[in-house]
Amino acid sequence: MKKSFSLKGFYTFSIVGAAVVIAAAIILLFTIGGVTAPAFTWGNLSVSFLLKSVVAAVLIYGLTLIYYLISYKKLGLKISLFALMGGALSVAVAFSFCVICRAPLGHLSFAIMLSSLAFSYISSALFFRAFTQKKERKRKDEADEATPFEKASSKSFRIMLYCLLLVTLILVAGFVVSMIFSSTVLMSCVLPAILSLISAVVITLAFACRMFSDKK
Amino acid sequence: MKRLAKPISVIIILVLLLFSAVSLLGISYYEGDFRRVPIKGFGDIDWGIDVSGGARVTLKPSTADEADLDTVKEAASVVEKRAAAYGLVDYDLYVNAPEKAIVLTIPNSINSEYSAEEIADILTSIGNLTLRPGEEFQTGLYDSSNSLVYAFPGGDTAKEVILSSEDVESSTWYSYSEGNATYYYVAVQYNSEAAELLKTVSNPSTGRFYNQTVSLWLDNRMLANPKVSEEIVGGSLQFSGMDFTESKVKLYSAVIGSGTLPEGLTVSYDKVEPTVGKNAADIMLYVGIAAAVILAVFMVYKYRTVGAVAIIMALFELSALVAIITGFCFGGNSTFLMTVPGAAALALSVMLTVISMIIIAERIKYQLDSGNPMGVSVSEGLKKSFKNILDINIILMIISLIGMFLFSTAGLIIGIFGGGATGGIYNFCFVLFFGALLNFLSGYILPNLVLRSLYSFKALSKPSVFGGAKK
Repeated sequence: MKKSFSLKGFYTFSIVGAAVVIAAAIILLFTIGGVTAPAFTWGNLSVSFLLKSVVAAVLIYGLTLIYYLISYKKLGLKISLFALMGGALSVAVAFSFCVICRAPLGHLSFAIMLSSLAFSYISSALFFRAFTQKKERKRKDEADEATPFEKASSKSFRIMLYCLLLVTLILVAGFVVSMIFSSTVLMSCVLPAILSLISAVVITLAFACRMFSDKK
Repeated sequence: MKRLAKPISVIIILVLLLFSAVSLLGISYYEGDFRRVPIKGFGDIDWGIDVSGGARVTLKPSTADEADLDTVKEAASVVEKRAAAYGLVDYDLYVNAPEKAIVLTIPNSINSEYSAEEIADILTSIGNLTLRPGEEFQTGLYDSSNSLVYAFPGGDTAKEVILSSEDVESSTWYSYSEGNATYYYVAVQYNSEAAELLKTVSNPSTGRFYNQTVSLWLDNRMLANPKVSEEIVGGSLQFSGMDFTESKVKLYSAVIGSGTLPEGLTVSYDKVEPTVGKNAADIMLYVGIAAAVILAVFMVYKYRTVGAVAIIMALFELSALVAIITGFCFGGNSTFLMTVPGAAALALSVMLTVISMIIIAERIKYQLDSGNPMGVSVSEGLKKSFKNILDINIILMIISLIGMFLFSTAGLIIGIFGGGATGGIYNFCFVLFFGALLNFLSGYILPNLVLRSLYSFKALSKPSVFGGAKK
């Protein structure tokens, strides 16, 4: 009971946190506005850009669905939907962090958002494979008390934690170097980049908590 | 999986280090004052507007109040087509609706003999290709590539236009090599009426211009002044100039084949400073060094031998991607224009190799901690990490392929969705696609060979050297 409550709490905390960040960014955008990079204009990111993004999301869902159906059979449908939801929310949160931290919206914010998307998909791919492998092993070893979900989440958390630790250290180094060279634009992107990548991993694994925690 | 012979790991590591050195540092030498670069290194990568700055052209109707916004938008779509046909990836084009202006920004570091200002100028020119009798001109000027250009038709040449862009159906370019020299041509395809006229005027017995010199003008710039030495059939006109290079014929062909802009647009120019500061390239170099130190310390401390192999593989991933970006891998020397999102994808790809190596190291560690002997632990660890690495690579390749396709400047995509300079996304996806593809090599195949060979060395045969418990 206690464990299931904490997992639920983790999910709720992540989703509510993401919602708060997105809401704060929207309020900021409509009140003060975003900081736009000097060489960048939003004039071209109109209907065409949004349309392309929607088509991209549909195609990513379709193709990952095919891959996951081949790899995981029936579970593939749920997995690809979950991966897409995690990815989309991670991108939205990354954009929000850029707005809140006053990072220039342009190519740098694109880089942060796309990296978050990639991190989200890496986390989900790690989790699913660990989950199915542990599930398979659990079937063979009934004495094992831990659920496949617990093992998979702890394993993927550990690997992504190392990865996040390394990325954070590198980004901090980037901040120091940018400070030495007085590149305020790069400096302003370090904090949203760190927050976005951490939140991408947390959000993705929080979705996993919600969708797979009851799978024995 | 079998244990491999000792020399295999040594040979692979040496080859990878040599390849990395050549790819990252490049090869260049001086011939007098000229620097020749047979193989471009990291320092020779051409960077986009973010890092190298750019040139901005603003086109405005001279009487903005009377101008129709739809006409301005149509003109912008012509510029868009030209930019796509020229192969520009990183550019910014939009219509400033209140001002009824078209704003085009292109990066400084385009791989061309022309300056960014001149490329932007040609891309936003009216683009009327005229075929005229004779070769009279009013003045000679030097362009930004230091070539003499005959400008403004004069005398009889100015009085008559045989064919104009209204008759052009399409335009392309081609090249051929003879000995050590390569020649570049522009081939213009005219419609059937113009084809008939060309055939008539070039007829060897009755043609008015047979054995005569004619000239081809792009607006007021003479591109070529060939002598008509054979009958022109099929409406295809090919021309070349002494100073024609690949980038120039690409540019001319893009402008000629994408339609004309309306007359009466006033042009203004300004410079765009690099978004991320003037020292962005230096910053990236120092951050790269810091990242290498951080990765090396963490990986070697945590996973010992597997960690050290991870650093070599990460270096290989980086250098192989740089080789793809500079064209070294494809035997060419053309440079892909990198932007900041591209650099982020480069860093992400290196992290991808590190993640793959962490997965392998964790699996081996788990096997060692379970009491399995070295050989079994290494082969089982590698075997069980394969599907994880496969999943990550395939999924990232799917995402990046879709991004590359949808955010490219391909004619099909612009036809369906309209324009929009989202070169940053294309750039990110291009680099990430190859990063994920290469990760099969650097994140699994090569570590597999190296690790299976390394534990054959007596000094490396203890579990603790592979990250296992000391006991």
